[in-house]
Amino acid sequence: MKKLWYMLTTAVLVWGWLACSSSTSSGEDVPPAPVVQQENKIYIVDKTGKRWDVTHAEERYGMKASQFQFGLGPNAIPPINNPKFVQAGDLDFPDPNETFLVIGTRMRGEARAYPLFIMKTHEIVNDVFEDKHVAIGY
Amino acid sequence: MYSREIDGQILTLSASGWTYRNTFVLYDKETESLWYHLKGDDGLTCIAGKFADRKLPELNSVLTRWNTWVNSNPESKFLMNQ
Repeated sequence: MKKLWYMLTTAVLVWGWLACSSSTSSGEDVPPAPVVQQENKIYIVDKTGKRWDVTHAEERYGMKASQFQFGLGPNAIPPINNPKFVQAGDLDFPDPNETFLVIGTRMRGEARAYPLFIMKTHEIVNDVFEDKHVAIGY
Repeated sequence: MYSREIDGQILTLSASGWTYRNTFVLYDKETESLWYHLKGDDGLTCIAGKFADRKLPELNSVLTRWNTWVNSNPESKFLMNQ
């Protein structure tokens, strides 16, 4: 009985591993974007039903409409538009011995660090250094 | 890091929800133009929309570890979880 249980568990684990490994391999398994052609325009349609005109991207840059992927919609990955910062001495300022990755920059005499663990969930931070408006992207 | 100023206008960049060749396609909320980092290029190129063929230049930034960064920039500010 114990042996049978072991075999079943192994089978389930192997099956699960196969299922996972085939669905996580790069973008190859993501279905192509739905493409709509209308009056000489080429649109891709995202999961929210929003249409994006990519005619210029195809004609000028040779990009293929069907090779755009995911199409989660513009609200799926919200940017940070009014970033708040901490500095040395503040409670939430990380220990200087921590080794996580950051994007660091210095502009208009001020240094700022944007940790990748935050960038990954927002993709973009819209920031400003005095009068200079910048976007930090990951 | 990119400039988001063009013709005196300030853009709000965001992920569009699309990727192309495993790279995020960005858009700006003001004009819904699409922006993409073309291979071998520096900066973002507008691939479709009002600003077609215009560029948002890349600005200096580094990818490094927090300890390295903060040791050479002890006065650095640090982005909070929002």
